[in-house]
Amino acid sequence: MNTTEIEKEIDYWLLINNNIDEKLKNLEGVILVLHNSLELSQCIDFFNKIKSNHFTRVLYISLTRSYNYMRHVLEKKPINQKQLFFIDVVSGFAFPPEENIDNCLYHRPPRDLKTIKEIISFGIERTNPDIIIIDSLSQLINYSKLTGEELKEFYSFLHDIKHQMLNIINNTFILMFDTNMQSAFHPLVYPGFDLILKLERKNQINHQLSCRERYPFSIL
Amino acid sequence: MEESEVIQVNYWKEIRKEISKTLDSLHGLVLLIHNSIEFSDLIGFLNKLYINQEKKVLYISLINSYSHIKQTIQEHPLYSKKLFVVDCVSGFLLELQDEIDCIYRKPPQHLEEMKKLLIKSIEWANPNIIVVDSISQFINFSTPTEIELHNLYTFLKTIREDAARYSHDAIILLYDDRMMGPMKKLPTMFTDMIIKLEIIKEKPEWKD
Repeated sequence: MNTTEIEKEIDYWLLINNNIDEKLKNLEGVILVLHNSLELSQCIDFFNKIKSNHFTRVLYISLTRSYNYMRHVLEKKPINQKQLFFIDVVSGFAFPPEENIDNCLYHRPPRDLKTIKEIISFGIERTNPDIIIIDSLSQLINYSKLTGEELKEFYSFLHDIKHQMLNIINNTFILMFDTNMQSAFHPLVYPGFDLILKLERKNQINHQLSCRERYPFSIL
Repeated sequence: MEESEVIQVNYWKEIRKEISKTLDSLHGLVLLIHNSIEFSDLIGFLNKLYINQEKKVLYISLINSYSHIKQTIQEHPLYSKKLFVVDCVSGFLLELQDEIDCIYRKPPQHLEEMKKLLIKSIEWANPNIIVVDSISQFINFSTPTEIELHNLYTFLKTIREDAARYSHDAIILLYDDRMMGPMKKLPTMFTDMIIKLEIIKEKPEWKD
């Protein structure tokens, strides 16, 4: 293929705000969740909708946020109907494995997909989860400019997740991806997933003026 | 001091695998958001609608001239659909004679005029599918005022009711969010479906 040739790919997205709760209630398979830098508290809103009608065990492998930070957020905004287990690979360099606490395991950061697979297996063995969440793989590969070899490796990773790690109980694997961290997730990667969702945060700037800005000539 | 507040989290589902099924059952008022698609891409989209069904399409154009449309259709044919055009681009500059499949009109200045043009054009073409390209011209939806939002919602509500009354298959309103900035709050209450088309122009560079 000529590398200078520019071709068009069209992505089609359907807004499902009205039936998202129903969709997430029975979520199964390998799911890609794209988002534009959602805060953890906004991700919690999303997690709360997943299998909301029964109690589940969730393994959360964090490559972007430390356990300390997540614990702090979860104290203010708890996750309902879910028991959470963390693998913190952010603080993994600093904490020796013997300091593991009840619901958090520390691990060294993965260098490639092979290592992340080992971390997932390690987590499944220890926690026996219903749902696995990886947040996120953007550190490992540039998904907007995949080489043929990387694409093959990524498909093989998803294939192994689907056929070796998922089973009747542990049947939901969610891969979070922050689109603000990398330019795009190329659609060539999409066929490997059972479902692709995009969570789009809409912000509004509040112009909150200080008293001095509001009343510049008054004596405060 | 400026503070940013989250006003909405939208949930989108990627539908490439089920696009034919979704577009075959398209019905009512549809908002089609895109990142500056060309007319040829719009033909690609229309070709996926109601495949193999004979349909009349009314295309109200505020951005493409009829001559450009004709030329593009020669290169990218529109299958099983007959196109009727309301050209609001050329009509602004020149006095042109209406044709069998095209009428020239001055561009509407606001949504109320757009609605009137829509009604007259429907009477002329009696279409199954109506495409308005685009509503981006009327307000900047990224920073709309209360009045602009009220006008938009009234417009959407009226044409949605009309669509149901005259049993058109679909009225599709295009909105270019690259040109006008993304819509701050999507009008989910006043539409039957919201679809987003994202064009990705580069393919990955293969090493092997």
